[in-house]
Amino acid sequence: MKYCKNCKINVDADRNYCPLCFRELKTINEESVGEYPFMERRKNEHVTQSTHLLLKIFLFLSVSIVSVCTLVNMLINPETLWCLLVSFSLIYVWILVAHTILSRRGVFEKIFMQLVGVMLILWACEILSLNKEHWLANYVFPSISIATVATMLMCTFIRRDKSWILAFVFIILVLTVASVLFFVYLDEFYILSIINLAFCALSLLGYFTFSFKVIKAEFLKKFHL
Amino acid sequence: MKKYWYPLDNAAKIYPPNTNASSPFVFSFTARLNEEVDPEVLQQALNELLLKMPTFKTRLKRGIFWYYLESNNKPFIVKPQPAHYLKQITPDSNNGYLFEIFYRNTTVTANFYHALTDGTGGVNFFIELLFEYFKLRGYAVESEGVIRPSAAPYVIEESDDPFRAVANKRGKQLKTEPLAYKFKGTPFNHDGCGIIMSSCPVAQVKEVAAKYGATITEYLSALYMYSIYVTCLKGKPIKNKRVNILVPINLRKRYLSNTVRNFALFLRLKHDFKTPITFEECITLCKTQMEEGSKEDVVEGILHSNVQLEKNPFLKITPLFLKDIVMKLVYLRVGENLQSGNLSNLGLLKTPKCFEGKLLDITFLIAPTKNAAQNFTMLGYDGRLYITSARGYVETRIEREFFSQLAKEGIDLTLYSNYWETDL
Repeated sequence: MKYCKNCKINVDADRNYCPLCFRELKTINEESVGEYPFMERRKNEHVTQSTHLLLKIFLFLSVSIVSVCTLVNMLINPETLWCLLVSFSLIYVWILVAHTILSRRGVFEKIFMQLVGVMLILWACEILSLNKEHWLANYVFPSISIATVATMLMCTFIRRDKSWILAFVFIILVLTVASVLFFVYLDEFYILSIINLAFCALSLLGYFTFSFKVIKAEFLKKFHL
Repeated sequence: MKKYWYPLDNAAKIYPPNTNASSPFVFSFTARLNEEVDPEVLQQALNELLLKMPTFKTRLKRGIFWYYLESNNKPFIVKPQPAHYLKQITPDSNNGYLFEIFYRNTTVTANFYHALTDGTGGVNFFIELLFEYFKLRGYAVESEGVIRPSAAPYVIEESDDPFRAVANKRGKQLKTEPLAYKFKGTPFNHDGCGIIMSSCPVAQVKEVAAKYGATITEYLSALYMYSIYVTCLKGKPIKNKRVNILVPINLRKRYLSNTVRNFALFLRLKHDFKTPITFEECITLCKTQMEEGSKEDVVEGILHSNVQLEKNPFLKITPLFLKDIVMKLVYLRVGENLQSGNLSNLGLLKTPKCFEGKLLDITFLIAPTKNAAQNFTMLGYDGRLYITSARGYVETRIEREFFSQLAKEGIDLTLYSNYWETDL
């Protein structure tokens, strides 16, 4: 036990200065609780503040690249908006790194964002493409949609945790709406698109038939007011 | 196992959007036992307790409109105590659990995130954990009416949000108030907070408080406020601001609630120090404000305002990502900006008699936040009062005044510090 003459207080410490006035302590006896209340700081526990420098560099580079590309595109060849492809590619890289790789979001939220990102890039490609056959709406989108729904159906059978079903239903609903919009936009019917729409509709029907209770419970939980 | 979920209670709703590394909203209890802690037994005790208290076996999830607590089936892991343990409890801190249990030599520490429970709920859980631990260690321990018997079933009231149940339309609307004074100091070179703890006989503090005609909480609150006046303000008023000390009042007794979730209201002790004040006047001021603030219509008023905000139809249907921004603004307006520091007295801890000799002492701590960088906490156990201060900066001027005054009154104090200001 030590004593601070200045504060007139007993101090149980292994240091030789008073925690209140920072003046020297006088040892009065060897009695000590020792470790209490808290222990010394260990060197390897020093926590350094993350400066997010890397993030700032990437952000700066992204904004610079997009700005320069847009400027060059507008000055040299404004008819072909190739700067869109650069912009969407960068947005996709951001989604990939910040959302899919680094964030702690759920796996299906990540799938959804990936879908959005990929579709954005492909849409930019289609705009730039000389071939005006709407290959995105006719072939690529239905294929990606079918693959996504099939993956989610597989997950439903494999995973014991059924709480994701509401997220599946939401994604399928979005894909269905997108498919219908493509039909309206294109005014054409391709077999792959029809298969995709049917697959989405049947999957939704299946989910509502066999997992209605889970969907309802999850809905009440997620949407509680 | 079937999943269950609870909406966040009214008080807890403000915490998730405002939580970050500098404002972790964490509080902790540390118990010193008479023997080395056995981590395996502690782990087993915790696993058994979590089955009895499902409210704690949860993780925080985002809904579309509100956050909620969902059952967590992942294992809870007790860990060796790190030096800086009052830091933010993140989803990866401990498999998503909103509390942490640490051990080191003879001490057990429990850290709680405020969105899960308040001080009373936390200490009850901690005492039950120690009870389970002693039982598993083979000691003859009896609940003695203090701890819930092992066979007693879990009752739904424990997980209830009591605020909604007790708030009615009798309350008055709250007025706009001036901003609070903020402590200024040199930040530490490393993460963490400076902790100074004192141990003293509770009878001595009670006697000194009685000399001023006050309770222990009133006396210590006045001492805290007066220490700020003497050290930080140097006896001068602060322009357009005032010192606001937040003192939580437990509402469980008043409304006969058994909830383990948040059920406390913050009473604001305030003064602008426009005219010089003596310590005796400061005590009278705190006493009057505490009596006024504890009146039924005032408490009902605050409860009503808080619940009304939650019930606001526009706020209700606002998606969570926008609500986060609204809640940040609300907290800035009615929370952070009106708060200088906290003083929380959990009172005398009730434990079974069989704890005597096994549980040597127990302390309570509230992590300082960006805007409340200095908190005082008190907990009484076995005839001793443990007063702890946690600060977010190097200077100790408030503690120096606070503890020196206690020593001058003849209270037999022993101080401990984590010497966080020292660079290793």
